[in-house]
Amino acid sequence: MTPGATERPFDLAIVGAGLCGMAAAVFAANRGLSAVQIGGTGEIQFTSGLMDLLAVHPIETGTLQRDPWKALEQLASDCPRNPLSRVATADIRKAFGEIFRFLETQGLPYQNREHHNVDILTFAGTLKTTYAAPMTMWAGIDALENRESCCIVGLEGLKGFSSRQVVEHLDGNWPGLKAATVRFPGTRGEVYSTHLSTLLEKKSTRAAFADQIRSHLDGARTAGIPAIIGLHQHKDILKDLTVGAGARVFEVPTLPPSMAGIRLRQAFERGLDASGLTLLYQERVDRVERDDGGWRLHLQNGPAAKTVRADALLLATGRFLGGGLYADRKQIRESLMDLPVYQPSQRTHWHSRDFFSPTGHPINQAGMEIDSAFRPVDRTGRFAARSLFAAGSILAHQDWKRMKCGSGLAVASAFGAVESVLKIRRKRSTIGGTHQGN
Amino acid sequence: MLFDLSLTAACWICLFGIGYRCFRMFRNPRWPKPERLPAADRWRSAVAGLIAYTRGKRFGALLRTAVLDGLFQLRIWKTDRWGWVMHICLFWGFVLLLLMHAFEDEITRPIFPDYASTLDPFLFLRNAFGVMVVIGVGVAAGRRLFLQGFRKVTGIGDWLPLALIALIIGSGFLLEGAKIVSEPIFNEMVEDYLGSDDPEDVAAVGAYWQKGFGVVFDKPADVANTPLLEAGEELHEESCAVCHSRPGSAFVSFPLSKGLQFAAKSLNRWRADVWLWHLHYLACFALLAVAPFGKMFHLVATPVTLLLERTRHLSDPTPPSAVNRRAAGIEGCTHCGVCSQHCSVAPAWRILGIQEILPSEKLVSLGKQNNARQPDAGAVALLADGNAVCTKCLRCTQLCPSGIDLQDLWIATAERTAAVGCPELPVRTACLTASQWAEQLEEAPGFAGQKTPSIPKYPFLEKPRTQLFHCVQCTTCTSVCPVVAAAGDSDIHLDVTPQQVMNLVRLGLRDLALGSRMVWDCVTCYQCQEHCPQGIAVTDILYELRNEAWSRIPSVEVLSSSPLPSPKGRP
Repeated sequence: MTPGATERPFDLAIVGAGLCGMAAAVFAANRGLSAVQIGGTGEIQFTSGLMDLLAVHPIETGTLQRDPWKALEQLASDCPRNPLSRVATADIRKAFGEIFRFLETQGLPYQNREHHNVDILTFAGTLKTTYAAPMTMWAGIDALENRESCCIVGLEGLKGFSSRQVVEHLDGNWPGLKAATVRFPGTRGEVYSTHLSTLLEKKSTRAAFADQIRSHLDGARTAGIPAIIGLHQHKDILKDLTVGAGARVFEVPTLPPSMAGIRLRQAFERGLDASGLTLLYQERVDRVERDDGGWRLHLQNGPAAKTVRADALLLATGRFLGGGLYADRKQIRESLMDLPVYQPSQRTHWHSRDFFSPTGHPINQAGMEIDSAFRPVDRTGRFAARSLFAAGSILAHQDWKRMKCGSGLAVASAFGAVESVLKIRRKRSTIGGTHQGN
Repeated sequence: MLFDLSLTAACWICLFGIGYRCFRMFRNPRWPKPERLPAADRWRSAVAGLIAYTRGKRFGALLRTAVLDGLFQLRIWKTDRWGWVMHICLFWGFVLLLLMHAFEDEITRPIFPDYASTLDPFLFLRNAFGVMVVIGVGVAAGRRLFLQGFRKVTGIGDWLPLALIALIIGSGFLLEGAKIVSEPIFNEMVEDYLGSDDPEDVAAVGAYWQKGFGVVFDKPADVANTPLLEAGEELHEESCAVCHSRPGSAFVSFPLSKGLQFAAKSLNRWRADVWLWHLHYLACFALLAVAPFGKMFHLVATPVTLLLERTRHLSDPTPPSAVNRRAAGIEGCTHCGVCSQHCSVAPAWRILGIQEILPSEKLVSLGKQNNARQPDAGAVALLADGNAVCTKCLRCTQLCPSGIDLQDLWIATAERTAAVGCPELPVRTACLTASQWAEQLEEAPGFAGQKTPSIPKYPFLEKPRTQLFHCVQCTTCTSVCPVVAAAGDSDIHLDVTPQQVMNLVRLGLRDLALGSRMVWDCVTCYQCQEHCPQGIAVTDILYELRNEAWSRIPSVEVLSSSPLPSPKGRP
């Protein structure tokens, strides 16, 4: 099967199956572009399930911003080279709305407080500022805000979640918080969240688990469990647990691989599959060639080789973990097309001396520089190709971990890139529809 | 005299051989399932069975088997076209030669009173049937020499019958060629059949026969003398033509005799025709004598197995009938190798080198164990390991040209090897934990010390360990593993989980993983490899570990309740 090889090329090829690639695919599908998405399993299943928009600015002072939209305006004037500054705030709002509607249709509703960031309790007992969370976690956000009586319920054999540690770490910050540990019904020894989520699909398991929560509540009105609710029967499971336990049950975001990340990926895959896009997951792009004004991508999956042709190419290949950037002993390279990467002049300048330096390290701001149309540019500002775009964490001049803007960066830049693709297509068709080589 | 003596001896040996094979078939079996049944019961059941085939549905099956499988060899046609060509030519060529030529006095002459071996169509047919057999032998030998892998499983039992048949036909053609050029035989025939003693007549016939019938005289006749030839022709028409068609009909022997002409005078002086005659019938009787002792016994056993296969649905599943059927199956194998040719797991044999993986060799080993007085522990272990690779896919059973119920034998063998304390390797490994195996393997030879075949054995394990540096121990592989999900307590049931195995390989501590249940219980569903965010070939590495364990664990002497036999001949 070589999609697009003999037929018309795709309008857009998206390389990357993380949040940015998935968002770009959603935007492309909604705008009637024929698109193909190529990617691995994706680091998306490592995510906690929370969606950060923008919570810290400026990095140097580490100021927590309560209103992300105002913060974005501020960022645009302070750091014009930040990718988030390239997209109008109103557009970012539209983009997020589109993604949330998409996820809702796939049975994975997200909630947010339109103009405010919220704080949420994590598995480590820390308080994280974020913008949107899955519906299953929202009761926890309310409970934290109002300091309601709450019982954190850990599971025996589940690594990386200790309810006792959560309570201890908060150190009196939440007086009504209690800790409990139960043995998930029907398990022995070590447990893994994916297996637990399958077990929860049985009503009898839910009832037994809810009973155990109830017996440890000791008067608490809310209960937090690790994120183990799967994609299927999402709402029903939460309702059954809540009713059975006699308390508002909520999920607490966990260490990767987290169920919340896995179900986010599943929701995207399901929805995109139904949208008619061509999805080539578990594939890697071996090399890219120009093809008469467009692009020819060569995929190699074991002995089978595929070729994909597209008019426009969007690189959403991620940073170092995702594989979009590659750091050797001397420099940072862009792994697919060896495009120029903005980086410190010397290897020794990559990191500050202080590992926990609050301003971060220079390498964190390295990446691909772009123009206003989200095209990768070199040092002189010339774009590499008219129909080549880049988005997501691969971009330079952002530090998504410290700015707490990962999802915002992914969604906003994906939006910006896809809009640019559309604009170019419109320009081409008004000129006369001929593909000019570039 | 020699002829009569050797024929009598061969017949007696053949009868004895058939008796011995039948006795062996009806003896209490030891493998795959030992039974103790009175021989009388077995014989009674067999005879009753035979009688049952003379009426009703079974009779119909008998007729169908005789026509479709006997006359047309339909079962072979369905499985292997070249095999069909080979067998039809061999079988029909030989049978027709036997009936028409060997039994010319007993069969042919009574039916065709004018029969003479040098008369058409018999002269032509005898050569034609001989050519058929040559084609059959040629295809059979070519198959064993040139089809991939066949040479390794072909032995003396396969080559001897082919060699004998080739000798019979070869000596036959040579004999006929020698007779054509033979002056002594010409003289004998002239003495017996020419109506005249007149030397002029003899000379005339001689000239005619030298010219047209290929005789080579010590003093050649004058074939340019036309009146002489005409006189010879007249005499020929009178006395010879009634039994002699033109020799060109012997389209192999006649050209062959032309080729012999350079040496014909010597051949005649030494009576090569007599020597070849002795060789020819001795070769025939040799085949008759050895036939029951080897695969040629299938002439008796295969019609039985084919008939039983056709009436499978009517069979009595209880002993002694079932025991008889199994025994017939073991004895009826022709070692044709069709089963091994199409075996689903034959590629495993190429890598592991254990012959008992192949159905034909498994059956040979089974037969040996059945007939052996003392059990051979090493052979039993190899049988167990070879049978363990078998997936019981039924393909060999469906393809067997002799209609043997192979699947039944494999299943029974698996039960038996387990019962004698030699279950398949994955079960044997369960007697120790992973750490205990690691200790044992420390002293056992590593696979690097063994002969490695040209096919790379462990491409994923032999990749540099830096490839595994990408593993971030995220436990995604473990989370999606259905075996981990089903295991309950993975510590106890699996020893280590997939991401732990990856870590062990990365640390160079493979031995700790080789004896783990995880490696043996992995169902290779590939979920882990498909989900790994870092693109690590988790399943492939697990599977290669299993292969490495397979090659190393049996060399370990373990003192436990079920001692592992050390198999001989393991590569």
